[in-house]
Amino acid sequence: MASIGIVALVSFGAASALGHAVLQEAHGLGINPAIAGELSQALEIYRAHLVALRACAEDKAGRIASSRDLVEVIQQGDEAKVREFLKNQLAQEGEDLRTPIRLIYLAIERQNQAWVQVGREPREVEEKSISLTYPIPVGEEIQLRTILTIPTSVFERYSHAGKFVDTYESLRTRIGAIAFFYLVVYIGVLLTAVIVGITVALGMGRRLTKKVARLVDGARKVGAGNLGVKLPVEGNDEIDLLTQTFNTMVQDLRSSRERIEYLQRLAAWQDMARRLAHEIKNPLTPIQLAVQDLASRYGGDDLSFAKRLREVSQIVEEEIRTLKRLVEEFSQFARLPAPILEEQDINECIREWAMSYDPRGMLPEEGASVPQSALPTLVLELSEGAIVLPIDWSLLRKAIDNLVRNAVQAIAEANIQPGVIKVITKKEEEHLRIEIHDNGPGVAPDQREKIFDPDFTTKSHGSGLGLAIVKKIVFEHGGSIECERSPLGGACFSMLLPLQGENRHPLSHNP
Amino acid sequence: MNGQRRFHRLFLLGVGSLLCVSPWAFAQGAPSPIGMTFRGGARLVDFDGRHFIRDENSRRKLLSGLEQTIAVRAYAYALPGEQLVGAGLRSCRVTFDLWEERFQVRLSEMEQIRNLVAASVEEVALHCLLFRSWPLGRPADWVRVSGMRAQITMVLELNPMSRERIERIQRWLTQPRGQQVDEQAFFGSFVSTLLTPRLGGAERSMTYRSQEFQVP
Repeated sequence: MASIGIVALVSFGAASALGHAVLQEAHGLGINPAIAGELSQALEIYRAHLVALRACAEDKAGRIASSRDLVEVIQQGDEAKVREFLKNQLAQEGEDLRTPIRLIYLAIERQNQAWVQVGREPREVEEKSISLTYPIPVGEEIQLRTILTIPTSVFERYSHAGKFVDTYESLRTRIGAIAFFYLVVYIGVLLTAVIVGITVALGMGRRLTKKVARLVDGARKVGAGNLGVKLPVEGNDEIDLLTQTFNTMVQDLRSSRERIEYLQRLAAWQDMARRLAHEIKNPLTPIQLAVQDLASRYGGDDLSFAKRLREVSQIVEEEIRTLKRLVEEFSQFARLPAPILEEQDINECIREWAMSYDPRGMLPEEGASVPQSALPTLVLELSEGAIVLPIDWSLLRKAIDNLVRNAVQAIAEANIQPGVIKVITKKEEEHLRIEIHDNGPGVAPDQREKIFDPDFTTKSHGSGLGLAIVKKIVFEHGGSIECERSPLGGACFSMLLPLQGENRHPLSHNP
Repeated sequence: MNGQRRFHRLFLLGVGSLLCVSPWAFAQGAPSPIGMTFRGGARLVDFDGRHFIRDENSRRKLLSGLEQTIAVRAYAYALPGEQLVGAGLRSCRVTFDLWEERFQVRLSEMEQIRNLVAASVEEVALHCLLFRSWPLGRPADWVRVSGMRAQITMVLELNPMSRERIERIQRWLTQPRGQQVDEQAFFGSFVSTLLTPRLGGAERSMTYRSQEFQVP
């Protein structure tokens, strides 16, 4: 803060000094005593010119008055000849274009009374006039009256030039004060700029400091194990970019941890499933055989007992079948292999899979009686062209199959007609999205996370392993899966798989 | 004997004048009389400032054919504290007509304007710088300071800084390339607002101050 102040102060001082120097030089270029002197001299010359014009006017009039011809015509006493002479004089002077002076009136006066007169009156606004009188040397009291004019503009121009020089001189003599005002304004503008600059710098600095502090705090929380941190991104500067990267990193860490936890949990379940399958599967067949043997060996006459024995035998066999199915599912779950990825066109794979779509076969045994019309229709909405990506289709097919199976069962159980299941593929920037929609009863929002747990099921005869297997397969493909509400009204399972191997999640192959 | 009587008469007349038209004042530099009479409640000033334009430079300026301004400001102060009692201004705009070779004088004082013609600088001085029984301040204002000491100041100025000249300078600063060019200078526009008639004063000025006198 102090350093900003010092830098600003030094810059301000330097800028002021420089500004002052520049100002002095700039003023000196245009306003200086040399120019003032030349201007005053030019004005003097202008004045001398006007004085000379006046003298010229007097000379014109004097020459006519002292003309020998004029004296002669007056002495002859012929008024017409005098008039003719005066007219000629006016005409001759009118043609003289060397000066702006015009002779506009001539009169011969006797005892101050006009005897002969020619010419016109002066124009008030356009012309300035003078009346000059000269005695004519003819012996008696006769005089020549002349009126000469000059355009008013000649004097107006002089007056304008005088004002210009006066203004210039006023500026020159007061240049110190005026330069001071310039400096004051310059410093004012400079100060404003500095204040605005400092305010902006402080504001930006504070914003940056705030963002950095937030990042540090976030990093500390992550370091303490809190991976739920998500920092707000307010702009698009470098710090925001860093924050965004931090958020992505934390999200990756979180998802990695979730994956690790999930896969670890699943591995434990797989281990338990393997043991359970082994422990249950082995005694099942002897039990079944023993019950069948017991039922067949009874030869007594007690009909009610025989009936009871058959019933019990049937119940036991049925439960053994259920157990066998469960054992089979557990075994499948336990034996789920690691994926072997191959570049394949997913759209083509799904089309082939859809050819063998058999909704009835997906129903449990007791649902075999469901009418054909109640079975849901499968609709494919696959993106145009091939989408080639590294997958293990045998596993991914199982995942899609499980999801569609669940949808078929949910629709049939809820007796929704017509049932619709839609499989959609969308190619996104770096991922492939596969969505499986249905118009079944859907999944309650609070169950959308739990349904992927191996010990969770909403079905009466389900093992809860189906969606766990799906999630594991998707995870092992480096993808993710989530359950949402479908626009069709039921559930939507959305799988996101990386299009390229490098986009796969680093922990995708971990158990 | 007759000569001695005439001398005595002149001496007594002089002393009488001094007692009647009091006080006599002295200017800064050369002494110049400022007379004040109290006649029937009216305060009348007598002052002769004609010498102000007798110098060569002033004559040259007045004969230049360009408009020149002669301004005389008068202030009456009550002492102590220089409390203003009255003020007066006479302003003459003098232009020598180079064509007609005569002075045109536009004289403004006491809210009156008179257009006069003068044949010479001396006549201009007579019109503009000679004050005879010139009323200064309202009688009511003088009554207010009755019994107090007072002083009169006369300020003579040739071409004082005027509003019109300030406006010309402002235009120059705002549009340094001339009014034909429709472009305003950024800094000049600000600077022009800071200019006032107090900037710089007159081309030439003289100040006269009377001696202190008692207001009756």
